[in-house]
Amino acid sequence: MLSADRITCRLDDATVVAETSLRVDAGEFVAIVGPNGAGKSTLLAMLAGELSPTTGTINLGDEPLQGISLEVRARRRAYLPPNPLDEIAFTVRDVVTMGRHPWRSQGLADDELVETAMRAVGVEELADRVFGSLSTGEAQLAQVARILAQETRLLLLDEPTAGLDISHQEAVLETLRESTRDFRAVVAVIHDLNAAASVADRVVVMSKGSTVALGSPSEVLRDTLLSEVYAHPIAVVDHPFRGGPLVLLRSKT
Amino acid sequence: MSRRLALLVGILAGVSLLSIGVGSMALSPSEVWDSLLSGLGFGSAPRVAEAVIWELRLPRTLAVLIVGGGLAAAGVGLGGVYRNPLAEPYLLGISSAAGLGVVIGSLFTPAGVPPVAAAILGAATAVAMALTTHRISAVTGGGNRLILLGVALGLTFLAWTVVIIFVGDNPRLPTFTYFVFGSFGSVTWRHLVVALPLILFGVGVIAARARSLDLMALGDGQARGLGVDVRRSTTWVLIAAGVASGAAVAIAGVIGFVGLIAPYLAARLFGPQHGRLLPAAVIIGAIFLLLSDIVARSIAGSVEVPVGIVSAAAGGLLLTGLLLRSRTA
Repeated sequence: MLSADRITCRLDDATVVAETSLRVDAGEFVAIVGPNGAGKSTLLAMLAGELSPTTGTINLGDEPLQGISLEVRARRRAYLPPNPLDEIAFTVRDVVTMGRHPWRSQGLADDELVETAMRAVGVEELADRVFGSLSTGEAQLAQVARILAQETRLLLLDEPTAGLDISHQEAVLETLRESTRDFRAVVAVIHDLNAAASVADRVVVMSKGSTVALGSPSEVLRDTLLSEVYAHPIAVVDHPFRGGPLVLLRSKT
Repeated sequence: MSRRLALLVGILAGVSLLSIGVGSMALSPSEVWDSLLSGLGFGSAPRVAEAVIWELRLPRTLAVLIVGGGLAAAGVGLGGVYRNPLAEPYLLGISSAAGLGVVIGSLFTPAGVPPVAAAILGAATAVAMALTTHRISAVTGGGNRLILLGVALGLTFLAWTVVIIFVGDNPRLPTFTYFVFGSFGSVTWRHLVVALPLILFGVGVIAARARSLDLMALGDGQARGLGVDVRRSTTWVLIAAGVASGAAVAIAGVIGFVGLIAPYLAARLFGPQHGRLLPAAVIIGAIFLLLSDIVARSIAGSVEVPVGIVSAAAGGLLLTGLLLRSRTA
């Protein structure tokens, strides 16, 4: 569905992402983890086509991403950037409806999908509130609803759970997980390693602009690797309820 | 059409009739109506009244209407592009740039030639300034630093305009007071023929980009992510806002604050969606400027006050209020 072949991004002489390759298949949830400044957001922005790689190629389906028009791209992939919205005067329903914009020219500006998307993340009661009046977490949920309303095969989300309480975090991740069942693919930057472990089929661990590990959560979330990448002692044990890895911080002393 | 919009159209019609009736020769609405019809060949009306209305009041009222609507549309477009309600042709220096273009154009227009050259040069300098604001915003962002730079450049253009008016000392040049503060005192049908198509072009282009402007409220990146060609929309809206405000300045001089007040009130009444905001702002801009012009004509007896002074008296207060409420630096 999406393949990046040795993409590099240089900004002001600094190499932010170096020679990274990634393949994402239909029905797959890929989590990108790593410390701050590892290049996760830059990688995701390149995969979304929002930022052009300095070198390397990205294909969406079997076409080069850069050759696909903005409108067609918007029907194939949805992208949630990391920065929050300005305080805008549109209502939550208006903002979520904007997610249908790419389909308008196809006559598919379906209001029902807007309501479904709002219900999926639990913002239907905020529908008529002005977006600028929402709390950080509510605004984040509304943005995720907009991404869902876009009805694309590929969803790229930069920290979709930022600012959310644990139950909303769980609801958003579960909704995204659910969408992979009908062969959508999700790529998300996630800071919480245990959230990534519980939801992802594969995890990309990035450090200093490069991919240092790529595989299933139990393959890559290992204590030696994580301790080195995060420069902090980390223990990994078996999760008592669902199996798989449970990442725990050790004290430094 | 919603009830609110229909109400606005009704108010506009009433204020327009009032504008045609008010002046040194006061005419009642029924006299105005009879004279309008007799000018079209229906019924009869006193000849003097007919001449006053068809030669003076009607072109003047139509000019106020399109200038008010055009400046309001430019305000909607610029406010949308910069996501800033203070972004309007006057505060961004676009109107003053047009003023400089118009006086330079007037210098080189031979006597007897219609004011086409001046209007086109005015529109061209306004477009150049509108596109320049976008360059500046790459450095300052769309916030109030951009507005401050627009005000600074606008004052500079205005200074040069005044220098040219005084040094040029040319009968083809507009008079200082009426040009720098705006006036409809010398409008004729010839001016309208030039300005109307330019302003219609501006309003039409902004209307065509209304939905893109909605999505651009999310931010340029998110709008692009939803398939909007942000660069193209921005360029077209800036060109349209420049053309509309340049044409407005060419027939009426520099009038401030219409592009600020009309979009602001329209957003309060009709919400942020540009498809609904734009027609409402155009009508409110026309009503506001018609009222300003009526006050300008009647407040000081036979002396006419520049209309921009009247619009600034209301607009300056609104700007103060908006700045006090604004949270960005």
